[in-house]
Amino acid sequence: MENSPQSPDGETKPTLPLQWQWLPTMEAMPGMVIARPVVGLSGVHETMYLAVGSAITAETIEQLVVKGVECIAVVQDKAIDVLIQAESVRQRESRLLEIFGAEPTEACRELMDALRAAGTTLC
Amino acid sequence: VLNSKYPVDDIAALAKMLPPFPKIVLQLLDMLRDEDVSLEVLARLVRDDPVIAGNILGMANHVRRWRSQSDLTDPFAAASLIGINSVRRIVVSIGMNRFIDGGLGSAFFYSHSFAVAIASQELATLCDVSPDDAYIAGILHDVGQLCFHVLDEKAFEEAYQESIVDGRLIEREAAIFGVDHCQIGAQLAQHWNLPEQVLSAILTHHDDTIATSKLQAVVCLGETLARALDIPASAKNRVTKINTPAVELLGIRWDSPEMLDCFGRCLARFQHGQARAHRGAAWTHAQHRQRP
Repeated sequence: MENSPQSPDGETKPTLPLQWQWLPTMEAMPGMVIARPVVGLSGVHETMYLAVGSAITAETIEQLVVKGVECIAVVQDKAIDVLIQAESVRQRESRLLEIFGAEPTEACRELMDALRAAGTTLC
Repeated sequence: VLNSKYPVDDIAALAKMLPPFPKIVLQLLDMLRDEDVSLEVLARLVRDDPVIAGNILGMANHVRRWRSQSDLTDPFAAASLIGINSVRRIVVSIGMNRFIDGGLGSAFFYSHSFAVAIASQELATLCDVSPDDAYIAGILHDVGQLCFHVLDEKAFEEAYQESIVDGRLIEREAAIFGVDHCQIGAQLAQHWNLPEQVLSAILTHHDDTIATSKLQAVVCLGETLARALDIPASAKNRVTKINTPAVELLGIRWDSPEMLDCFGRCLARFQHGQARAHRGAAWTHAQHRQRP
């Protein structure tokens, strides 16, 4: 799914993908595309060679390791079966109900709803 | 301490029953106060530790394989490749994980402590709290439970199981042992001369009505987040309360874009840590096999 709004002059600007998946850095492969800001050890965003939208190379993976980055978000593989993804989301919803209970407090519900909204990015 | 048949007031004796606290982490914490600490000094610190050296080599060789280069066997060369920040992270995480995984407690205890450390650290990076302090306080938050395992494992496990649904573990521990795991964990932290705010975070991590410091708040919410994310996956994970003052003190919103990223990073880093531990263990095992 791509988010490509039109600018006032009518030109379509390429923008960020809305679907992504978080991976341990050890599972990063050349060719994957970075989907969310890469965060280093101290919480600082690492932008050099690692900007959102750029494709990962062997050198990028080295940069990630050197900077102590343990995970990255990459653009989700469109080939993933929609039915498998839907089942994964359904299982997560079911676990959330077990973890929070049928009648969570208002404060708990805020967290539960946020996790629910995270959808496929956590699957 | 309430009347108890267990010797919970002799912390020094109890500490001796636990694995030795990793001196390497205390040394590292001292070193980190010196901004000029060099990679060479750090590498010297880890040189004689096969597990930490194995993890440093494993990470460096992961990079070299992408370049089609042969594996390194020298920890200093490996540390030079992956950089001082990665070495620091490995020392803290492996040192603390090894302590928690020292043969006491359950597999869930170890994985849960690791997950809370990660979640606390991720929250810390969003809230201007030291990530290293958050990791250490997070991984030690339940260390008092190790004492109960030593004193009476059966009684503690029964209390734990009964508390999964109603969340009244603290009260049951106090009834059985005279103290709860927060109190005894804080006394252990004091015995090991850990920073005061780490001690305080351990002491109050189950208090859902107050936020005594930002570090306490991230550990308290780190535990909630680890359970909400179901890491490690377990029927023991329940979220029935949230420390609202801690949420307010940290100024976080669960539905913010940064928090959405925080959720994903916690899950992926938990997987990363488990894979790294497996890789480091494999390297250490191979080294042992090669020795004459």
